[in-house]
Amino acid sequence: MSMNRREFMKANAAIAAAGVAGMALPASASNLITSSEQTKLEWNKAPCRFCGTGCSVIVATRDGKVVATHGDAKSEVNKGLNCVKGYFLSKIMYGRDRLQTPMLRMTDGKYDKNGEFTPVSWDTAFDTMAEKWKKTIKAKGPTAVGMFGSGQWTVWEGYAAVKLMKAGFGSNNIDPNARHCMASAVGGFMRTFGIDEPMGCYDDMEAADAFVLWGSNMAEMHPILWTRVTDRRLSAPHVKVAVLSTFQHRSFDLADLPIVFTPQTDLAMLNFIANYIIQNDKVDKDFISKHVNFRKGETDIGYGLRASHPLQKKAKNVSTAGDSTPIDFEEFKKFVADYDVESVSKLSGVPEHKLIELAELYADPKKKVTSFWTMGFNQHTRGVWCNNLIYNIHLLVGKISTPGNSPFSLTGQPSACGTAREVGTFSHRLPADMEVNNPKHRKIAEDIWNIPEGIIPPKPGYHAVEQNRRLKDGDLNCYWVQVNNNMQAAANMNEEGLPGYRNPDNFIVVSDAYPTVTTQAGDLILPSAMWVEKEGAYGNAERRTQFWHQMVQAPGESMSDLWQLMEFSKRFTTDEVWSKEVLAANPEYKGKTLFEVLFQNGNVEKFPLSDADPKFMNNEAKHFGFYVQKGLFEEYAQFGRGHGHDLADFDRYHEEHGLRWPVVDGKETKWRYREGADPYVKAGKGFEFYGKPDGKAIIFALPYEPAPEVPDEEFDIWLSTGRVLEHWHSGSMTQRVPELYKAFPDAVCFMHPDDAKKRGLRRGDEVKVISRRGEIKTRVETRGRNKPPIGLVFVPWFDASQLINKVTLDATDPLSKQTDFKKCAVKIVKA
Amino acid sequence: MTMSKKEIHVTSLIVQVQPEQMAEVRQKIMAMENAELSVNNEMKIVVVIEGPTQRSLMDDISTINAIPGVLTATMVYHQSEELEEGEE
Repeated sequence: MSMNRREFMKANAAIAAAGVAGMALPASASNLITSSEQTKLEWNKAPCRFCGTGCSVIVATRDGKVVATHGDAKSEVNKGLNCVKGYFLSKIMYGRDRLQTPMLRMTDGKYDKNGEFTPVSWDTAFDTMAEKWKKTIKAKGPTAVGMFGSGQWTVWEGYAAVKLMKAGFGSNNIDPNARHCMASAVGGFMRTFGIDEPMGCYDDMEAADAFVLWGSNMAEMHPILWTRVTDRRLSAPHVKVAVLSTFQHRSFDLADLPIVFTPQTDLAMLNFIANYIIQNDKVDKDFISKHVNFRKGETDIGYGLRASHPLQKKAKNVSTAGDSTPIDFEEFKKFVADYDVESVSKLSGVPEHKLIELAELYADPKKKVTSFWTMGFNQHTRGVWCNNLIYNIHLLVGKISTPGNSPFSLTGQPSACGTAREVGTFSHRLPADMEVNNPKHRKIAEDIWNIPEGIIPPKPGYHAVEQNRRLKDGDLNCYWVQVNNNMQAAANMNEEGLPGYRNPDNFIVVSDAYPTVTTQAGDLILPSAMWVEKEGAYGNAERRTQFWHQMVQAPGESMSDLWQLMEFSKRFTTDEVWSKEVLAANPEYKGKTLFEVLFQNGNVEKFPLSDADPKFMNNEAKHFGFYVQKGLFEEYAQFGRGHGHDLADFDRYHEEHGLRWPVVDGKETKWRYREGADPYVKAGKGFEFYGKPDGKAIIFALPYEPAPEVPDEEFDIWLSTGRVLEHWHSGSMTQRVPELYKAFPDAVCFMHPDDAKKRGLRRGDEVKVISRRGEIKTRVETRGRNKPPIGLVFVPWFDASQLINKVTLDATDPLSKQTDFKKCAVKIVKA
Repeated sequence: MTMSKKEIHVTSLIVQVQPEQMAEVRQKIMAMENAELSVNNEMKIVVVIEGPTQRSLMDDISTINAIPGVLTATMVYHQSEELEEGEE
């Protein structure tokens, strides 16, 4: 049989897909060799740089360029599959407008806040920065400098940034954009279990009998995980899928139990389920008597707005928002008894029979249940409560830490877990879940870092939203943003973000690979290397740490964020940034540069260049003369080893397709807190929630409280914001891939046809979306993938030409400080 | 990129389908000019798409995604080649 080239290509493609799908092709078609083109390519593994799923991809390079990617068949996460973003990964580095040189706002050859962006050398860039930093620290102290990073930092970049800020400048003003994304999840984990991150793993998806999506639209946001859920649902007909959201979306296609509810009433539904379980005698009494304590949380805690906001003034318990008092099961039972099916149905708009069917999924002792959530719970003014309440349910029925029984907090960013959370890039945290306000934790960090006592300040720094407010108020004057587009991402940009960046007292530095709304709002732009242009490590939502090698060179003068952080540290001596008292007590540190103190401290420079695999590039190791990444990682790993956060040896991760921590005696851990699965659980315990001193998790009594801003006569409709499949976050990378841009070019306002009609609007009409804070112009979409109910509109936020965060409200969860991007009141009028 | 030479792009997809709608989904895909069905079981089909540009593939994938009963359509493999003159 002869075959022409076209037929040959098609046969190849079919074989690849059939292999991944686990289906066999007829023998005649399966003996093909791959095309000759393939042999010229160099293939290596890397995790995808988009979402928190952590798919592994195989990256092909040729002549110094990434030319192709495909799903890694050896990866347990994606098993050879890739979503459309991962599929076009090879193109994200090659947008025509890639930044290639530092650019400073200048007039007549000098820095001028109102000048034009002008190319400068790295030396000029760092000199200008250092001058501003030194002047500010001298005048106002270290609380006037700050940094904003990301869950897209590699592990060692985030770690180096934490060191530079907390151990170098002695400032806790570092926060990641994970504050917008995962802070409520972190708060929930810490409050209920005392340790961050999920107990289960993705293997739960093949073991569950029921899936409940709380607000999450996995079909678009975690598409590869969704293919696994879909496979499970279709191959095991008894499996049920419940999808809950404030509007109908793509995940509803698979739903056996579709539920659209009124915003904020998830709190009441969660309490109803707990009540249902108790009323129907489905509590796992043995489990809760051995492994659970009950507490009642503080209520009326405000909305994380500025102290001057009327709603904030009205709230009674702002300063004690995180407090709770012990109660017993009977008191908890009484507390949730108010959440009966009639009243919750009325409040949520969900029919009673659907609420009961939902509760029954959890209550039925024979059903293994996995709950998924992401931004619906986390971007919520009661986000920590939502996280606590879902754990309540799983704990009441003992459906936790066993295969298929899994309250699973999905992650937004590729390393929100691995970097932002585990490394401790939050303003209140240190590595391995430790906190700055705990003197013991500060001591541990200062010892490992080999810095004098008293450098790390005990007071938490400014969190993300507070940073924008303090920039505006002039308390924070030198500010460095890396790996994210926060001007576009943060809420209420007209009133908070932009005035802060453009405040004449402030100097704003933005490191990025592409021009964004944030680089345009800054004063100095630094060009960054991205993804496989540097050696990296990410940690995904199931605690899996994955490494990759540098495979190509970044264009122009672009440098990795790690190089930028370390080089900048050379420009400071301890005398310029540390207090006289500390230096007098520790004279051996006098006159040293921060580079010497932080990166030549006996740990970081320990591994020679020759330890690095000579097959790959490593710009940073070459530049600094030692294996920087290994030194940083091994120092960092000291924080967690032996404390429930054990990471494997550095070199092993380059061999593996990821490992789930804790990695003890070379073995990863799939399910934490269960005897036999988790080496930290003591023999005979069965389960042990060892993040808490007595090994018991906490069930919290927490009520439904209303959202801060609800539709009224003038602003008469809810606004929810979010993502779409094709675009990653603010679109700064994906909008530069023509295929993705074309698939979803411009943001639109999804609305119900009746809502459109009522306002005299038709599909495609130009409209204004107006809130009390700002407005944008967009177009009406009454069809398509998202179908809001009457009374709610959905606008994606990737589009820099339609900045929906001019409209949103900067209300935050008082406990997690995470913004609620899902609820505010707007009106829609014809433009 | 040279504009004179003709390109051919080929991609394969795994399409997850509601089993009771499998027959209709298969028919709709078969009716598409550039799509070919490969193996399938009761809930999954392998589809091969060809076209002159990557964009045309993306359009076809959108079309498949929009067919009622299609739950997911995930790309697995993509290859592009320049065709020699006269080659089909």
